[in-house]
Amino acid sequence: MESRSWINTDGNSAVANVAYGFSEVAAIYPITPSSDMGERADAWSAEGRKNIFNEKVDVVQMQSEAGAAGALHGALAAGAMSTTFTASQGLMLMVPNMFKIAGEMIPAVIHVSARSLACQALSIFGDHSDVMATRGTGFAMLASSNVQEAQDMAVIAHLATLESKIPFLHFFDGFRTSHSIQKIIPIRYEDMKGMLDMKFVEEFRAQALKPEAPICKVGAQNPDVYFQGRETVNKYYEACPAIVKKYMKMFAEKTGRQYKLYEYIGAPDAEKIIVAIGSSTETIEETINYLLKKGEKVGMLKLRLYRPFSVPDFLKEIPKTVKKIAVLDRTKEPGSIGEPLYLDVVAALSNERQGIRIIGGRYGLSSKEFTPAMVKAVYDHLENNGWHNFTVGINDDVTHKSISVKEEIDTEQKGIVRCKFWGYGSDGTVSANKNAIKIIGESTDLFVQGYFQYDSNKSGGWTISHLRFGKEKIQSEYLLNKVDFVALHRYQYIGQYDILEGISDGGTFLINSSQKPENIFRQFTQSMQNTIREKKIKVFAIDASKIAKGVGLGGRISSVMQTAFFKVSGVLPEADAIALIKKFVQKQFARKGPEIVEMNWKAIDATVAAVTSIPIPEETDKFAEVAKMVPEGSGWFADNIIDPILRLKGDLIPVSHMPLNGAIPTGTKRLEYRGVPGNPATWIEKLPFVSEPNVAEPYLEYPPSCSGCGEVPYIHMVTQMYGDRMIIANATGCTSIYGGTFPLTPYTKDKNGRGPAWANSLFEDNAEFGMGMRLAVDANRRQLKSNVQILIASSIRQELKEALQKSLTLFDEVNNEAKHHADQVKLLLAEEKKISKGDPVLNKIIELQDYFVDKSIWILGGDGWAYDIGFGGLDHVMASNRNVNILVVDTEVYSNTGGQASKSTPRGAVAKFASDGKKLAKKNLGLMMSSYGNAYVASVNMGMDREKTALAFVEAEKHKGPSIIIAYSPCIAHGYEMKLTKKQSEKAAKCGYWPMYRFNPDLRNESQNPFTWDGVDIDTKFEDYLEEEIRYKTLNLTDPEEAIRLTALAVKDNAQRFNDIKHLSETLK
Amino acid sequence: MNISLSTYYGGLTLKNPIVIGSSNIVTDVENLEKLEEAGAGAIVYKSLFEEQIEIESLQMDQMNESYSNWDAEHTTFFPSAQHAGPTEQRLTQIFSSFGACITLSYPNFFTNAGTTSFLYFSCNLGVYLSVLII
Repeated sequence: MESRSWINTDGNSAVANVAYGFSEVAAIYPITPSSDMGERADAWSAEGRKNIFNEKVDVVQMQSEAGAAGALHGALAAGAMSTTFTASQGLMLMVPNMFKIAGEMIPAVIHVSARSLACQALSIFGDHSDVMATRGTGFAMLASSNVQEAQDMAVIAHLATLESKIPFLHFFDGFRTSHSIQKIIPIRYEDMKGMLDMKFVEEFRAQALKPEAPICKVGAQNPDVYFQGRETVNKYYEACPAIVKKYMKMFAEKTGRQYKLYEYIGAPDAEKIIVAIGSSTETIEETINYLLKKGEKVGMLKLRLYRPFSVPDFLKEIPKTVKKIAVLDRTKEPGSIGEPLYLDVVAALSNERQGIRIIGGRYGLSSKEFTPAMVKAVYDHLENNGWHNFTVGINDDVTHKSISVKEEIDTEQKGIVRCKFWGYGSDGTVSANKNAIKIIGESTDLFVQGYFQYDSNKSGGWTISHLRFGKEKIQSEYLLNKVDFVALHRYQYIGQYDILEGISDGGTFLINSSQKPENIFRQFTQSMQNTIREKKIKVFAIDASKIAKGVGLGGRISSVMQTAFFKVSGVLPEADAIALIKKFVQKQFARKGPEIVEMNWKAIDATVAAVTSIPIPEETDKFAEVAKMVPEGSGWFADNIIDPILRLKGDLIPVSHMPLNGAIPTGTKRLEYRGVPGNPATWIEKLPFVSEPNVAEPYLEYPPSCSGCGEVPYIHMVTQMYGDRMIIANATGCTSIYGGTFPLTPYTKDKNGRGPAWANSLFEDNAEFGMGMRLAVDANRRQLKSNVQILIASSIRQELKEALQKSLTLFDEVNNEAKHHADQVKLLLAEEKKISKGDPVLNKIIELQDYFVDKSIWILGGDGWAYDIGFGGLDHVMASNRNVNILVVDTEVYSNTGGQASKSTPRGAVAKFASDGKKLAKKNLGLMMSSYGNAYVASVNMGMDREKTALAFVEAEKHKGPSIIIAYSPCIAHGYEMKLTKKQSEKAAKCGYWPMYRFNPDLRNESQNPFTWDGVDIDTKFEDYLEEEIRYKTLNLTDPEEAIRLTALAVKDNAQRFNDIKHLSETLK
Repeated sequence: MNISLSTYYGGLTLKNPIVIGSSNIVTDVENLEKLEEAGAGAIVYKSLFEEQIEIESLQMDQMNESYSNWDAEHTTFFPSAQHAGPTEQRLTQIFSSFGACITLSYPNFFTNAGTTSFLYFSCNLGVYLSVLII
């Protein structure tokens, strides 16, 4: 038994620590919410941290999850214990290889922070649709339900795989477990090593491919033997559950924490039980404990080992008294008899325990809340012999599968303190709360839990922190729905959001306000005022900005708010709390000098003195109005979808209101009262070479990107040029998140109702997706043309005939004449339809009449897509002769997932997965693409030269084959004030870092040099460019020698790239 | 006639007792070389203060965290890293050019020698912060 200090950590960190310990190789690729695991492993490797074998782990970033799986397979085959981390579509990319790894019976562990699959839309949040889709691969599947378990099951998985020879997929719920901060007992590497029998490591190593013991591993098998070959594995799967049990027992002896494959929780004589897997089992257990006290006979069977499914172990746990079972699946398989876990349970019970009624239901897709009231609803549903295939947590008013959920019940432990904080984007609230739970978790006996929500708007969005503090282990794996303390760090939220929702009687409300105490109550909404009076809420205020400024902390109000929280929340006695924060601040800032510590201490003292209790007047006739979220009269979609979502009440939207394919009307972002419209590229009107700009109206407005985003100006411009006939294929990434997060899109339409049509397939397939769009448009236009030719030859009115003939002559034109003529023809066709007797040719033309003018296909994405995961497809499309336009908004890093290095990341820049500086030069994508000869290629920098940039877009669009534009895109991931982007863009050009050129194959036909150099002469030092950006500065501060070395090499890279291209522009024929 | 002006200082033998005091002329390597050629017995390098390291370290952390915790997907943008010290670069250059260096003890450093950045700094260089170059 161990008795050791607890630590605060999140699921990803806890799991990564174990995986690092047991591995020799990790092949990684970023995908939310698993990225942190790879990042941690990479950072530890860069620091030289040792695994349990006392070696550094070789952590390698691959170009995609498919690449990571391939490298994993190879590393395993050649004899290195290996791991990877992934989620969602990333796991789907590993599936082909998972069949291979399992088929070859190679021990391995893949850790998955389970996440929704992209279906009608992607979701970064948690459910089991990804892991359940891999259940046929032959991987063992082991689930955990909280952070402690995630760490512990990770250990079990790594141990069991080596002995069982079966690769393991260990999963835990994305965000709910991966990002939740909880207090756990850490596992020591020496304990991990102590449980590992080196005999199995030797066995693993013995099967490595090596010429000293040559074998030919895995050829092809024919019908005569493949089937038998497939059946060789059976006995291993039969043996696996006992091996997992063995390690669970050993683990218990080592740590005192006993786990079972299947664990029954609840009344020993229960009649109704739930079967479930993952973090929901914590909430179910909490609810069971509550219901048992009320005398109900309920229970739950919690699964950990899902594959191989051990029927005997499973049956053993089900009490003899059970009559009804509800199986809860956190996934959906449309058209199935039931979801996977349900089907397994039915099959497991079919021979042994007849007479039990088993129903299946779905819950919690995409981190949908699953609360005690819902658990209770499931038991009630069972009690009432309710239907199979039910859903809980939503209102399905279409197929009526959802069950009704009564009022929330408070099942949480006595004395729990639940605190909710409303913060604002970059105000430091989330960071401060992470500190607060660290203080309390690591300095007291209290258990803690922290979970954080963020707005999808990338700038200026809300954050909500959900913190729990309790004397016992916290099992509430759901957002706070009863709150004892609410802090509002931004008073502007009053009237927009339901700030005091769920506050308990006698609760505490702390507001950051510069108003006089007597004026504060009047600024609440009427409903807030009523709540405060009825529930006798204590209200406190603090002017955090004033205090922060006063002590020299500038705009960082978070430490002030944190102290105020400690003073009034009652989590700890005030004196203890303040002493703790001071101690913590000292520890945190000790190495930063006594002044900094002093400064923070002063802020703490000033705060303690300044927290003011707000008087609650008996009566007041003044109150704040409930804010309008969308303008009145904006239509059904605005009132029924946008308004509730903006008020954070989207959970209440019924199924009937949701679009079938996830699509939303464009022009919706303007309905939200915030943001700035952005700068439409009106200046392009003056350019002689831009033939069809619509500068009167924007096609992109209020983009919810980071302010100063360097991608947006390019999208503004290209939509302004081609918006009325444009289809955009958008790779997953920042552009797809700010371009298309439900229910608002910044893409909009003109007075004729035309504008960009936009779709996102995946991250990896965007070039192909756009190419498919091209094929469809071409097919439709061919069909239109042939039908027009037939109709012209038939007896139709002369006017229509002439108009159609003209259409054919204008068929390849996209100018205004062609557009106007197409509109005329539509009117004539409509007239003709009235008098025709259902002519199928005419009808076909009308069906296809929108294709008279060609569409402009734009394939949009970032460098993570273009240089890495989507490169194969991009390369193929560029090698075709189809007329598509690719726009790469190149931020030189994976921006959306948090700054991981791509092959576009320049040498010397620090990024995640390159924490000691990127060692190799940026890939020269433009030069590579120009080698095809038939493709248009441009490298542009709008901040330096917007006219040449516009020219490149026009030429790219005109080119009848594939085109690619690589666009220099400043990003917050570069780490500098985004108001300086223009200056920095200019430096990028003038130091020779970002060459500007166009390669136009059409010029070759005119016997001209296809290369045109648009760059400026070099008159700035590369160092002048670097010194502005954190991505470079960091290395200077952490490893100056390496920074000097890499900078020198980067200067060479720049010179070489510059000279190569300049040379081509001067010499190529 | 050879007159030896050699002497001892801080446990080291100096070729003469002319010691260049800490000043702006000692901060770059080129000047140091000139001073040595001109016959300086020793050079006192400019003092480096722990506060300097602390403030830079704080600034670096704040800089690296300035875009953290805004968004569910990118909770951070830059990998966590340890600050190396304010002028390690320059000192490394100096130490590679000059053979013997000793440190003059500044009580300030030794009383605070337990702090992380200071230790990191000193292990990296194998010296302490105020140096006498001979």
